[in-house]
Amino acid sequence: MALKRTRAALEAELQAEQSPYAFYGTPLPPLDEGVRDDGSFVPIWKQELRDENGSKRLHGAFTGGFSAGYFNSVGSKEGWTPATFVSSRQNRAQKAEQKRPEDFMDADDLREQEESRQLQTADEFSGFGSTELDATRRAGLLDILKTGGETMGVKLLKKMGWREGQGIGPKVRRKANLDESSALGGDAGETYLFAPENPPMVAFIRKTDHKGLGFEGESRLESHNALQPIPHGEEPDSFFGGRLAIQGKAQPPKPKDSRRGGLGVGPLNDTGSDDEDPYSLGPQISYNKTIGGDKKKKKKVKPEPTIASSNPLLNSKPVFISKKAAASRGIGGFRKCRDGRLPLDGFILADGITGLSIADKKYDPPVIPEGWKSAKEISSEKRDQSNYVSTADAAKASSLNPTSRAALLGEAQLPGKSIFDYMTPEARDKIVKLTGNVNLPPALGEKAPKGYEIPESQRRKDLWDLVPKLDKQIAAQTLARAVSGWMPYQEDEKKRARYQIFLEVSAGSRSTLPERVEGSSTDEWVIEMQEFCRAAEVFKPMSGVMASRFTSSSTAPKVISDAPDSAESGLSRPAEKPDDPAVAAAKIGMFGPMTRSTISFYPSRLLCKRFNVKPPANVQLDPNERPGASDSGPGTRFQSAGFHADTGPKQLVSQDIMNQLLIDSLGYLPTADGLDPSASGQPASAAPPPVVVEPERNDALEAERPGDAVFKAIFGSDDEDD
Amino acid sequence: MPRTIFPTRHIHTLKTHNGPVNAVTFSSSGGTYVLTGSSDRAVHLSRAVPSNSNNATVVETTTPIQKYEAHGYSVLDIAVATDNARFASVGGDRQVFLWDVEQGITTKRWSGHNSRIEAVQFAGDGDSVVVTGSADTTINLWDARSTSYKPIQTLTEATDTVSTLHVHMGSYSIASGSYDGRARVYDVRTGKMTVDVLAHPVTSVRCSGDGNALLASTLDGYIRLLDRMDGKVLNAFGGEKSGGVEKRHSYRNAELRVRSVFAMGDAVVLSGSEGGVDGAAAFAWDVVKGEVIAAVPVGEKVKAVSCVAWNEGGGDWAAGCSDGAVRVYG
Repeated sequence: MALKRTRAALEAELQAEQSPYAFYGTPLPPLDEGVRDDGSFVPIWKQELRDENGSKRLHGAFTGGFSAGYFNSVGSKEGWTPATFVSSRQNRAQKAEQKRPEDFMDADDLREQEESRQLQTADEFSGFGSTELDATRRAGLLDILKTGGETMGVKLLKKMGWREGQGIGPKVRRKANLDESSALGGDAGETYLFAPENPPMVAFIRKTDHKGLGFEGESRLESHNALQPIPHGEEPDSFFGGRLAIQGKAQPPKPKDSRRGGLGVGPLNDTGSDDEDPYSLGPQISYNKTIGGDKKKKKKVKPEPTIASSNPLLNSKPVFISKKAAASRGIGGFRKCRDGRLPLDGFILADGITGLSIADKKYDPPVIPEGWKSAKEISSEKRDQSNYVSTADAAKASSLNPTSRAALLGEAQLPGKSIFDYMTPEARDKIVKLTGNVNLPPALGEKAPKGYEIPESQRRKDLWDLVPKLDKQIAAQTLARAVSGWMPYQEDEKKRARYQIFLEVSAGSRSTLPERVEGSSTDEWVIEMQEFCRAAEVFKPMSGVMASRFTSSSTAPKVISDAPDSAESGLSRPAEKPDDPAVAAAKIGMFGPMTRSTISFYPSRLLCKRFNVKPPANVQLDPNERPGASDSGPGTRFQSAGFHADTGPKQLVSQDIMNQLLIDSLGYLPTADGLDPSASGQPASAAPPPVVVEPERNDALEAERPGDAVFKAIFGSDDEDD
Repeated sequence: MPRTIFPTRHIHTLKTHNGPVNAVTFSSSGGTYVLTGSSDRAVHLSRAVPSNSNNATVVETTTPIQKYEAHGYSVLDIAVATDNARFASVGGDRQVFLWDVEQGITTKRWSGHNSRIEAVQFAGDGDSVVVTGSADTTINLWDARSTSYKPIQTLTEATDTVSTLHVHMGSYSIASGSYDGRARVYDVRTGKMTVDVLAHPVTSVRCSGDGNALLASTLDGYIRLLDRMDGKVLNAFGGEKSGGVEKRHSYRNAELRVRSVFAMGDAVVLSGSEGGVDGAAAFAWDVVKGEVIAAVPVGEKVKAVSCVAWNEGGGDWAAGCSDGAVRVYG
C-alpha cells in the first residue's frame, strides 16, 4: 500500500536534492518546471532581519519607522519607564521587586556568565567513600552534648540589647577609635558612650605533656606571664576547654615564630607574610615601625583619663594585674574585684585563699562515733508497679467534691458556696454555651440554705413583681374589646386565653397569678407577659396606635366599628404604609386591617390585553378607545358597575350632588351613562375618581346647553326669533 | 365533596437528579408526568406514576424520560403551561427559559433580571405571559407571544427577594411573596395591589381555587390562610409543638424556601418541611379544622422537603427532597 506523499514533503525533498550546499540563508526553489513557486524567494527590500527569537531587531533608522529604538532598547513606546516605579496608591507597602543581577545584563554579559560557570561534581560525589560531609560522623557525640545555634543566654542577652562582639556590662564613655590613626590624632576630645569591649573567654589549657604541673618550659623565656594569649582565629573549645588562660586585656602581641628561627631565612623562602621583613637580621630590637604607634606611652604622657566609664564606679579602667604582682600586694590586700570594687567586709578574693590554710581541723566533719548505726534503712522491698496509680488517675477516680475533700481533710469550710452550687444544670449549660468554658464546676441545683429560703408569701410577691404593670384602664378597655372578638393571637387559642387572663389580672378582676404555659420556665412566662403587655398597649381601643388605623364610617353604625367585619363595608382605608405597626401587629398575630394595605398599581396596556381584561381606570386610556364604548367587549363581564363612573371625565361636582340636581331638574335619574343607582349607596369604589385629563374636551364648554329661556332672559333680543 | 383519606402510600421514587430538588410540577390536566428542577441545573421529565405501579413495592426510577439542560446554575422553579406544550424554568443563572416540551429545546430566553430568579408562573389568556420573581426584588412580566426581549412590565414594589408567585386567573391576579415579609396580590383588573404584612419572609403563596383565600408560608413556621378580602387569618397551620398525628415529626420552616400547596380540592393544605433529627416529612392539614391529618416522613437522611405538588387528576402528590429524590405518594 503506497502512501501518498504530500506535495510539501515532495517539494522539501526536491529542494534538498537541488541545493545541498546552502548552509546560510534560504535556498531558492529548484529551477524545475513541475515545482510551483513556494514564495521562498524574497527580494532584498522585502527581507527582514530577525534574531534567533524571531523578533525584529532593526527598526527605525534602517526601515524608516517611527518606533526607532523602542523595540530594542527603551522600555516603552513613550520612552523610558522607571521599571521600579510602583504607584503607592495601588500597591501600598509592597516590597519592591527583587532584582537579580541577570536583570541588568545584556546578551553578552549573560553569555559570559554562562561560560564562566563550570560544571563539576558536588563535593559529596567527588570521592568515593568520603565521610567528610556525613553529618552524623562529623558531629559525632558532640552534637548530643553541645547545643547548636544560639544558647538561651545569648538569646536573652540579645533581647537586652547586647550584640555579638560586644562586652557585657554598662556602656563606657570613651573616644571613638575609628582606626589607629584617628585614635592617635583624636585630640578633639569628644567622647561617646560605647558598649564595653568584650572580655576574652576564660579558657583552660588541656595538659597533654608529661611535664610537671606548673612547669612552663620555654614559655618562661618569653614572658614572665604564664597567661597565654589564644592565637587569633582559634576558637576556644567551650566544652573541652582548650587551655587554661586568663587573657588580659592588653595582650602583648605574640612573638612571631619566624623571628625565633631567624637564621636561614632568606628572601627566597618568603612565607608570604608582608609584615615580616626577611632582611631584618639585625639585633632583635623591638621598635615601633609606625610613627607614634605606642599607645601606652601616649597615655603616660597624657595622664588625664580619656576613658571615662558612664558608671562612676568604673572610674578606673580595669587593669590587668599579674598574679605575682597581686601576690606581692599581700594576702589581705586591697585587691579589687573584677567590677572594680573592693570585696565585701570579711571576704577576700579567692586568689588569696592559697595563703589560708584550709587544712585546719576546725572544718573537718565530725567524727562518727563507733558502733553508730543509721536509723534509716533503705527499704529493700520493691514497689509493686502494677498497683501504681498516678495522682491524676486517683483524682479522677475519686468521687469527692471539694466540699467533701475539705471535710475529710478537716479544713474549715470556705466562707460561702460557689454560685454553681445553687444553679440548675440548665443554667450551667447556658453559661457553658455562652462562655465556651467546659470546665465549670458541676451545677448542684441546691436549695437555698436554711434560714435563707424565701418564704412562700415572699415568693408569690416576687412573682407578682414580675408581672408587668399594665394600666388598669387600658386593660379593661382592651378586655371589653376582646369580648367583641377583637383579639390578637388568632392562630393560638391557648395563647389567646392566656392573654385574656392576663388582661383580667391587669384589670383587677382576677386576683390569681396569670397562667403560664405548662412546662415553661419563669423567664418564658415573664417574656410572654411582657409581650401581652405590649400587645395591649398597641390594641388599646381608639386611643392607641390602632386608632389611626381606622376611620369611622358615617354610614356604618358606630357600634360595629370595632368589629373586623366592618372593614368590608367599603371604607376607604387610608393607604397605609407597611411600617412598624403593621409588622408589629403581624408579629403578634393580629392579621386583618392592621396588616392590610392597598396601593394602586398600573398594569400596562399590553398586560391587560394579555390578561384579556379591560384596563383599570387608573391606566391611561387609549386615545381611540372612548370610555364606555366597549360595552359589548369581552372584558365587560368582569367590570363592576362602579368602574364606568370612574372612567368618566373629571367631575366638578360630586356624583351625588349631580344626581340630586338632575333629579330635581329632570325628575328622573338618567342611567344612560351607566351609573347604577345602587352603586351610589355603596361607596365601595370610593377611591377618588382618577383624574383623566382630556385636552379635547372642556366641561365648561360642552356642558348641556341651558334652556332657551335662559338665553332669552339674558340676551333679551327678539332678533333671533325671526 | 366526599371527604376521602389523604393518600400517604409511597408508590414511586424518582432518583434522577444529582442535587437537591427545588421544584416539582405535575403536568397540567391529568398529571401523568412530573417535571422536576434541581440544583444539578437540569429539568427532568418523568412519569409521575410508573406504568407497573400496581404492585405494592415502591418503584424507583433513575432515568427520566427527557432531560432539559440549558441552565447554568440550579433550577429554582418550573411552571407548566395549560396545554402541556411548553414549560418555563428559572434559576440561579438569572435567565428565564421557555421550553418546548417535545423537542426539548428552549424557544425563548429572557435575561432581564439582575439576580437569581426564584419563581416563575404562567399567566394571561392562553398562558401568554410568563411572570418571574427574582432576588433583584422585582417581578417581571414577559410576553410569550412576541419576540420582545424586554418585559411587558416590571413590578418593583417588593423590597426584598420575590420568592414565590402564584397566578390566579379567575380573579386576574398575581400573588407574590417576598422575603421582606409581605404578600402582595396584584389585581390586574382593578389596578390595585393589596399588601398583607406577614412580618416574616414569605416562602410560598397560593391562591385557593375560588380566589378568596391566600395560603402563605412564612419562616416563622406557620402557614397562614388569609382572607383575600380583608387580610384576616382564616386559619393557621403549623406551630404544633408536639402534637399532630405522628409525634416524631413537627412542621418546621425557619430558613429554607419550603413550598406549600392546596390539595384535595382545597380541603387540605400540603407542605414540605425542614427536617429534624429523624429527617424531614411532608405535612397535610385539614383546612377547616387546622389539624394535621398526615405527617409523611420521607426518610431519615433527608434534610428537607423543599417542594410539594398535588395532582388533582390522579389524586397523588409529589415531594421534592433535598437528597435529590422526588417521592410520589398516592
